[in-house]
Amino acid sequence: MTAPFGESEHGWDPRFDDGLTRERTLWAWHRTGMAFGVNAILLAKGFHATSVAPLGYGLAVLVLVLGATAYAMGEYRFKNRFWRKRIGRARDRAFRTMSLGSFAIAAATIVLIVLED
Amino acid sequence: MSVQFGSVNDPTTPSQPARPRVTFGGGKRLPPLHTFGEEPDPRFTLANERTFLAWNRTALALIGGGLGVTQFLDDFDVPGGNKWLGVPLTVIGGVLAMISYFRWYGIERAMRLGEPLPIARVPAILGIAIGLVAAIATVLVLTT
Repeated sequence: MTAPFGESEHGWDPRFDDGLTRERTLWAWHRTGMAFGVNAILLAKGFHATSVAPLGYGLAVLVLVLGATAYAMGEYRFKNRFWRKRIGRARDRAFRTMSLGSFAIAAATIVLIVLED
Repeated sequence: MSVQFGSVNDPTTPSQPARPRVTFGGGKRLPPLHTFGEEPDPRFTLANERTFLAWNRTALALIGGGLGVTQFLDDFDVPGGNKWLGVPLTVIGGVLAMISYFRWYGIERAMRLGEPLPIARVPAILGIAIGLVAAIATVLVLTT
């Protein structure tokens, strides 16, 4: 069995102190959430007065959901012990969701730009 | 048993899969990370996670930039000029978003198996791509 992070059989070991890394990671997730939020605003505003406005709004809502997911993921990772297997699974899925989501935003944006003409 | 610092996995460990390779659309499903190797030092895992997030934000910035150029800028006196600039930015952002996941996975996998980290080619490719977009932007601005 592996000892909890930061501890060894000899007691607390400062070499394994996670320090502020978890906090930095939390802020990184939050910044990513905000980046999604900015993209949602750009989508809603950019396609506001166009023929594809409803699609633009719909996409903006989906992007906001992704941003909220990133925000929640940061909180979840911060509050839970990250070396557990179930956290690992959640992490895999979350990363895939972030990547695929961003890719989908790009693809949908290009489709909207083409449809707009 | 104490925590190992930057633990290196024995390559002969039965839990190690048959060298799964990170591929781009090769049809091979990437095995979940927790199914092989050993959990590396969480500080390195989290650093990798932050790097992934930084790539993802870069992708989002490119997508947002491309969207802004197409929707909020004029045509630069060239028909569809803003799209010549904005669409490539958005495409680069989308590709980068996908690459960021494979990059994160590859690094995490290497750390779990105690292998050398994979060489990063993405910065060079991204640099060239952004250079090309900058060239397009320069041409558009000079012809306006």
